[in-house]
Amino acid sequence: MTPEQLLSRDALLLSLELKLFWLVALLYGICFITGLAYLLSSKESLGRTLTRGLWITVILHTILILFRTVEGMRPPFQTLYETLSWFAWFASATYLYAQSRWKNVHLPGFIVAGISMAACLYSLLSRDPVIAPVPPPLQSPWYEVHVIAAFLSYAVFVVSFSVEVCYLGFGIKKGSEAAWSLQHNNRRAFGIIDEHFRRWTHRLVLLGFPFLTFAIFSGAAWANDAWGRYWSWDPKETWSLITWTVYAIYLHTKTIGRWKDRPASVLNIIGFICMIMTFLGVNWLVKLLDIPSMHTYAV
Amino acid sequence: MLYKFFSSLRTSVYIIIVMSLIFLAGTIFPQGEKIEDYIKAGGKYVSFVRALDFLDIFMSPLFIISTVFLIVNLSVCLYDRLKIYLKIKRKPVEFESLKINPNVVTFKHTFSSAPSTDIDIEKRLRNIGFKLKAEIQNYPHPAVKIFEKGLPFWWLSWFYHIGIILAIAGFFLTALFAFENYIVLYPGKPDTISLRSSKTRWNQYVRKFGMKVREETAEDKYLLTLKEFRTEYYQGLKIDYPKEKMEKFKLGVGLKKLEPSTKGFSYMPRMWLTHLDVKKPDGEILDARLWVNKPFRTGALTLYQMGYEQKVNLLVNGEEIIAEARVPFQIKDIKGKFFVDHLKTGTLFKKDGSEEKITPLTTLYYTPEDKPSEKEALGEIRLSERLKAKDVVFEFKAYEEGSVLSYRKDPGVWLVGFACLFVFLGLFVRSLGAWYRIQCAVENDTAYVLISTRGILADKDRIIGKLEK
Ligand code: HEM
Repeated sequence: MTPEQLLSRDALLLSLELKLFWLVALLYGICFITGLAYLLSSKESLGRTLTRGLWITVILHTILILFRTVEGMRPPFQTLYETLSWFAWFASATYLYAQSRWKNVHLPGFIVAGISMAACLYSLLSRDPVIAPVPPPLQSPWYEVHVIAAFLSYAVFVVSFSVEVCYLGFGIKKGSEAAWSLQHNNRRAFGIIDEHFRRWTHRLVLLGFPFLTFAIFSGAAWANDAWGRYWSWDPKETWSLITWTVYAIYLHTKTIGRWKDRPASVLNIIGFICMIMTFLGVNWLVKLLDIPSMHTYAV
Repeated sequence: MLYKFFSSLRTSVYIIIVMSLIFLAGTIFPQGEKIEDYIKAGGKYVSFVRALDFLDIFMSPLFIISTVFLIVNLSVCLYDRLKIYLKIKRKPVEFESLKINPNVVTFKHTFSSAPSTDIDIEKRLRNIGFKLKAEIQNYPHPAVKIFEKGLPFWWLSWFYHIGIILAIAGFFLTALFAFENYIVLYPGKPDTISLRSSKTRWNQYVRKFGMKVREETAEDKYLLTLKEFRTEYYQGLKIDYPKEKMEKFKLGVGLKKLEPSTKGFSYMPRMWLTHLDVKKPDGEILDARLWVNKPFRTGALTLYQMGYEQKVNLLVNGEEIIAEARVPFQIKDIKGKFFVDHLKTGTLFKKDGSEEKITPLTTLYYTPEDKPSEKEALGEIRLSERLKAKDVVFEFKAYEEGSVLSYRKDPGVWLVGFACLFVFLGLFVRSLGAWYRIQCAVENDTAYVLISTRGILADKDRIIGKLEK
């Protein structure tokens, strides 16, 4: 094939991929709106539709990721355009796995759908999707392991966060008796009736924490091979350490009687914010404060 | 009192909070900057920043003290737990409270053909891998027994906390003894490096205390001779992707078509590779090949491919100029400055799978005297070709390419690697691995079973199902 023919083929494949990606983003959006309707009406059928909708979206999203893998002849986690898509996929797929163990609880799905939709839209509207060859610093098996571990941990934290928010929204005893019983009825309406569901926040963080540990470890191993220095206190590295320590604090509070409840919930939410900072906010912070960073590849 | 303070989990929570805040400060204040530059750049809270060493926060007394506190806390806590775990006492609940526990599961005697349900439940538990760990007989009530299955999670937790101490020890070794430097090797110009540095933190401290630091000797030196340095490029064919959000949306819904770029192709880096001889202090010569992400290791020495340096020999109006890539140079009687971009040379890997030898080429730029931040591309110039621009004739006569290698000695890296892997594995098994504790008692025809679990893979319902079968 001539270079012109190769380029036309690439353009065609990319436009097909973009159409599919927009469709996936739209479907996440529809799931999110269905979830909002469920939240307002508490009709169980809407909850079930939300979960089914997410299943369909995740299947389409899997096809999209496979398509891009074939298109680029490599797993797609090199640029922020690609990792945002992974992030949305991992989060939704992890949610669906967890949901299959709760059966009748559907509410956290609307938060996960909202986050996945936002990630897809950010990717589509702000990043360049053109497939570029892999630059030398990224050509390391450690890099691939690092990205997979990081996104697995992020996905698990997203689901833990969404469960925590649902529980906090409907599970906190507020001042008067009347308010408490209202909360209680709401929880019943959404199937959030026992501590069993709430325990998932802890279980998920317990799962995400080793993944995050491995993500930091593999990142350090990669840096050790690429630059000979496993740790440079680069803003992204430091933020990953902040996220790691915040979740470590969360796990400790879960073993301390009086801190188990509200303080732990607050820490879980702070952990989620730190995770988003590590993933996306650091790039913004680096630009804002004009800090030199070695982690500019994935931008 | 102090023991109690340091063995407390609350203390560790406070210490880790303080450490997170220090990390946070480390991402906000520019690390490694001089305080004078910080003031010049309009930095705030100067006295505070100076007092707490915020511009080198990860070596500041505040950070080191917090880390030492964490280590003491961890060590005391681990010792305390070890004492508890070594003589762990399992105390079953009272039968009466077991019976009324809301989570208790009951099994009927009828599902078994065995003569006694007690034997039956125990047999079933043993059959699925449970071991009897404790038993209390509290007449006239039936005995309550504890059965367990799985790796004891408290030991896993204990071990990975040990791993955290080892990792911190490794970080200290790195901080005190590691040193790094870089070398630029050109063909035909061998150079030496030494693995002994008098500038490590440890040596700086030693000197501060008035002691002598051992200086470099010939025995520490390695002689490096470059045999070949190569660059490889991909053929960067582009597609024009719009920048405006609305245009992007139109593409997504099929209202617009994607077009190949009109800018032609670019050279995109594929790899930088170095081939050299390494003569060790004992005289042995090693043949070394390395590239980005593939360092060369021998004994204590590790060499890394960092990048390259290029020099272009230009004949300008009859005068020879050696221009380093991206470093501005001046030409007599001409205002403003010129510079050459990175040279493209080596092999081009084309999109159709073929390879091509690149005739070395670079781009020449001009920066006006009154606008030093602007650059004007004057054109591309290949080896042995000429380019006329700004009334000057530039001739590309020759070039030189040097490999930039970094080298590092870090005695902490193995300990950190080993400890972190240990922590990860411990955490992973603790989080996923299933652990069960069953407290059970049998009264008349009914067995009362209370199951508690740890680990994501633990599944209470599966155990109940197996007991019912
Ligand atoms: C950076 C420092 C630390 C990290 C990353 C860390 C990590 C963790 C994690 C992830 C857990 C939860 C896992 C589980 O439930 O088994 C945990 C539990 C625990 N940690 Fe730490 N820890 C640190 C420091 C400490 C210190 C200083 C102490 C001592 C006071 C301590 C004592 C404990 C105890 C007693 C538990 C409960 C263990 C159990 O359930 O058996 N940790 N730690």
